[in-house]
Amino acid sequence: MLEQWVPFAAVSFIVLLSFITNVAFDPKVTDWTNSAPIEVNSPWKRPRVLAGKSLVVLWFATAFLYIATLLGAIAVDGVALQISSLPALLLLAGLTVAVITYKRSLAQQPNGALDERERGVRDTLYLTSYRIVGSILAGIFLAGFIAKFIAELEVNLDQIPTDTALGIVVTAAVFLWVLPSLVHAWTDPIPDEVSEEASYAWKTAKREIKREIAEIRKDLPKSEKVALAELRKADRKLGRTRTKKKTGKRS
Amino acid sequence: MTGRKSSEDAPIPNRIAELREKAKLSRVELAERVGVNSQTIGYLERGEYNPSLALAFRFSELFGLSVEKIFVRKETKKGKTS
Repeated sequence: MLEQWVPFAAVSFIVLLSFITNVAFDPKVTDWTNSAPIEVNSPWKRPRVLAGKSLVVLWFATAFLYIATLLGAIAVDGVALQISSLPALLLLAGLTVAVITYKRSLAQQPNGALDERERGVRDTLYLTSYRIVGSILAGIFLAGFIAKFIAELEVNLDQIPTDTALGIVVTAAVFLWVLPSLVHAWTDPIPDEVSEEASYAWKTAKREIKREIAEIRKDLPKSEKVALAELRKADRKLGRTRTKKKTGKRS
Repeated sequence: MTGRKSSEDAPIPNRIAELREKAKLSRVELAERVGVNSQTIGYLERGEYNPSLALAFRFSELFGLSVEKIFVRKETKKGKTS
């Protein structure tokens, strides 16, 4: 039972490590607000971070892990671990969502939702994806050709169980769908700037809070004065009673 | 082919950040006025994207300056636009 969660734990560890190396140890990442200095002709260069690339590597690692678990077992130091494919599948689904939304789902957007720069970026992503898929298909064809006619190996696809074949087909379909987003995350690995609306809302809220605090402070001296006057009154009364008592004692 | 590509990729310095600051506009406000995403304003200000002629004219109309006063082909050593 425990070994079923080995891949999940392994990938979670990688995710955590990736987060620590990207965020905790790289203070530049916190500069997501992208506050470019206003200087003419000295464009601010965005910090290069591994966030997008880590996500792509994780996606591929999880996809391979999922396919490996479909085969039924993974051998670690000669010991075959029976592993459930469900954790890897769930993680793959989560990572797919993370990859697609990483750059505001730009690769999946229609023309109307994008401006001229974004349309150019999206079209380049699809062109690159097309080339990658073409290269993969050519590689598979070449490998098949070499296996059949040069190495004269017997390749029998009928031996692959239906569940495994279905899993591979599903992974391939998801890969084709997510490929432009993967290319985007790899080629422009920097997360998008924090939306200015959010940043503006945060700044406005901060300003409002500061204003409120200032108003409270303005009111504070009054209440302080009142409190001090009350204290003085009380003090005076106490003094009187004290002196009365003292005088009473004397008399 | 290579020469053409390099000239296309070379950033055209611009004064968008300075003019936006002068106009007291946020990136979102400027983006809305010229009809692009606020991320694109960031790319333009950093010189990571050269706009189309249509977009350059929209900036020109918004700031009330000619295109060549916003976008310049060369920059001087001092960092001022020529």
